[in-house]
Amino acid sequence: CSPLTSEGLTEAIVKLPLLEELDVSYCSLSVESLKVVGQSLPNLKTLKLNRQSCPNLKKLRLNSETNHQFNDEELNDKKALGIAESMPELRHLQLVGNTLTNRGLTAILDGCPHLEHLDLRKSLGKLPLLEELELSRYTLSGDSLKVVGQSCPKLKTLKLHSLEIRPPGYGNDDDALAIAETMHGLRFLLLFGNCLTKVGLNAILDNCLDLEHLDLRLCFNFKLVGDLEKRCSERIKVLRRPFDSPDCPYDEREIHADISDDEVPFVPDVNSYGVFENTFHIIFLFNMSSGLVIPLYLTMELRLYDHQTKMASSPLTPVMKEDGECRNWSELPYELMASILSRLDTIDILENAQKVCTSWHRVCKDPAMWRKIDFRYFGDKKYNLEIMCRHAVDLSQGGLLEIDISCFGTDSLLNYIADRSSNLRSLELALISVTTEGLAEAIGKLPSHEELKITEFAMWGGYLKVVGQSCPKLKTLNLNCIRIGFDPPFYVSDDDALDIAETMHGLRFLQLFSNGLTDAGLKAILDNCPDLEHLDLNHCFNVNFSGDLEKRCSERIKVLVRPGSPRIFDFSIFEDSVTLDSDHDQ
Amino acid sequence: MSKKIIFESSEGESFEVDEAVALECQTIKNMIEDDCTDGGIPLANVNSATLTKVIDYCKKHVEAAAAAEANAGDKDIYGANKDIELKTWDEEFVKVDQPLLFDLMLAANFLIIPGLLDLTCKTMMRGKTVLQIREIFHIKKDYTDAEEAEVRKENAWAFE
Repeated sequence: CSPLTSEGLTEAIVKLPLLEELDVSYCSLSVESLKVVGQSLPNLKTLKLNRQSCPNLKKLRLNSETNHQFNDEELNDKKALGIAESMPELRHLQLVGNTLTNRGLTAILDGCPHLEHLDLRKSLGKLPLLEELELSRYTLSGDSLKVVGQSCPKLKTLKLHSLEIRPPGYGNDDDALAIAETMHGLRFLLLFGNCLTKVGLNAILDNCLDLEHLDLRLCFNFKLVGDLEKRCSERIKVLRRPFDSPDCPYDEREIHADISDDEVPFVPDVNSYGVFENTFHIIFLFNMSSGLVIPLYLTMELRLYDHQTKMASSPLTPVMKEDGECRNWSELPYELMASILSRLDTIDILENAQKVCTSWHRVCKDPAMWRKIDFRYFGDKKYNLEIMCRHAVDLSQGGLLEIDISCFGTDSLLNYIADRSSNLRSLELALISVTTEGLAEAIGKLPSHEELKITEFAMWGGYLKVVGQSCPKLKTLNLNCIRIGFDPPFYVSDDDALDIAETMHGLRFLQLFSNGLTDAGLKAILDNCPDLEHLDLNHCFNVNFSGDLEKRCSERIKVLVRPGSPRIFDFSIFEDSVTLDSDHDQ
Repeated sequence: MSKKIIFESSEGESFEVDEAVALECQTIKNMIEDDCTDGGIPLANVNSATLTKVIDYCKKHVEAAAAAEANAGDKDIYGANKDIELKTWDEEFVKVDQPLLFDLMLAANFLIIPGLLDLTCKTMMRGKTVLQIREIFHIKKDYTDAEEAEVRKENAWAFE
């Protein structure tokens, strides 16, 4: 994981003919070489070299983390063929985020007779020969697990790592039932942080008769006692219990005191940071793959915000007065109706509320309703969000103040907004389908801009200066860096910090998540942003607060979040990228 | 000893609450600031059942805010456990029948309790189809077929 270039890597590999383990997942290669490696067929060059120089290579990790170009089946199969031809001794193969078909996998299986472990997170096409599968994410729906089970009848090992460790109370047996229904041949099952309850566990025990190894760490929705415990201990040779993990954030007694057999929802007042901190690495893998179009991925469903939609499931009884007379909502005063409707999500207003009756329609046409547009937590894939968003922007008639397009924004949409919303104050976006050029162009049209939230998935650089110069009023900057291979402490760069210091003197709130800045960059920011009150440097591990920086920060900054603070990146962006994929697919 | 405020429901029933709880309602806050709360505040358009729920809501949120303050040291912007707990509580809170939910919404609007208004509005309408909304709120479709087609045309963003 040291900063090396592709040339360096090439050189190094030539000199190491006996190399047995090669891990290029986390090399901080330069942007260019990373692109070269990524575009020219991830690591084909490296693979060829491997063939010449590393005949004994036994362990290989090829994680497709860098780009969006890996969705070509041909290429990935070729890669697989390359592996098969060149590395007959391979024993351990990890292909995270590759799209692989049967052909490629068969080639690997034929060409590498010694293969013992295959990790295909997010690579699954149709794999009837697959025996071992490891998925380190949670948002897979029960249905897609069924697809996995049906397409892999020989599956013997399944590892499901949940990204989203929920506190007890969110029991859900979809995964467990899908496993029980389709994967009868399982011998090894790992369900890390799964929401299954005793119903699901019993179903698995009933249907997976060969199960020998069962790992239920951090599964908190059942009690492993009584019959259930007896069944497990009789049948299962190796059993890891929910509380076995050293990472377990919950105290066993505390939980069990409160979970009754009827699964009463219970949210303990304890800290779950430990788990998230430990799965951080996995989160990155998941994220980088989110730009890829992968067969399995499209069948994913959103779970994270499920509990919000559950709120909407109240029964459909008309509103009645006590005397039985019905209230007519269409006759409510305009202001009250506007106040009520403005609280709905953009999508609900456009899709439902405005179609209810003419008076609601009138309310929904009011530009005052459209000062703020937020599509963030919207997970339905059946709408073209870009058209919807343009329509909403039109309705605002130039009065738009805040907008969040981080899940689907494109350059053209951003410029459409910028052209029509000169009053825009706050913008939130992700540099997935919005490019730095598009952002720079749009931001030039928004002189009154005050708040900007950007999520970066690759190394861009340079554009911050343009942003700073175009927005003299910028008060809040939120820069989330999810740049694989460029995460501190392995990546050190003060470029962003210096650009900020040079151009954004009016900042009050600054959040730099996982940025490579050092004390020098921090000092420049403190020197040049005199109004800074809130500074969030979480996961900026190169900041040490050396010299007088500690003192200056504590004197100047009202709220300071330190690099190692127990917080994680907002997950919603990952969820929403699903929508992005499917939209592009249509 | 905190000051008490007395509410009077439409049925004439009295409810005594801490001033801090009453301050959750912007309307009451204004009245307290104008010092016209002596002898109780008559709420002629809020019935006892609704008022009980409203007070429950305000109490819970005052407590939660106080607890959050106490833990300010390790505050977590992206979803502290306290938040989850409060969210769960809110979800439970609005599991009531539609007439009461409706009254809660009106009370929240009248007393100006933004959080409660948000919660009730979203609960009643989020994710519901046009037909469901018409049914819940007992609204008759007053579009002509031509108008409805027009609205539909102007909002053509669904993928086939």
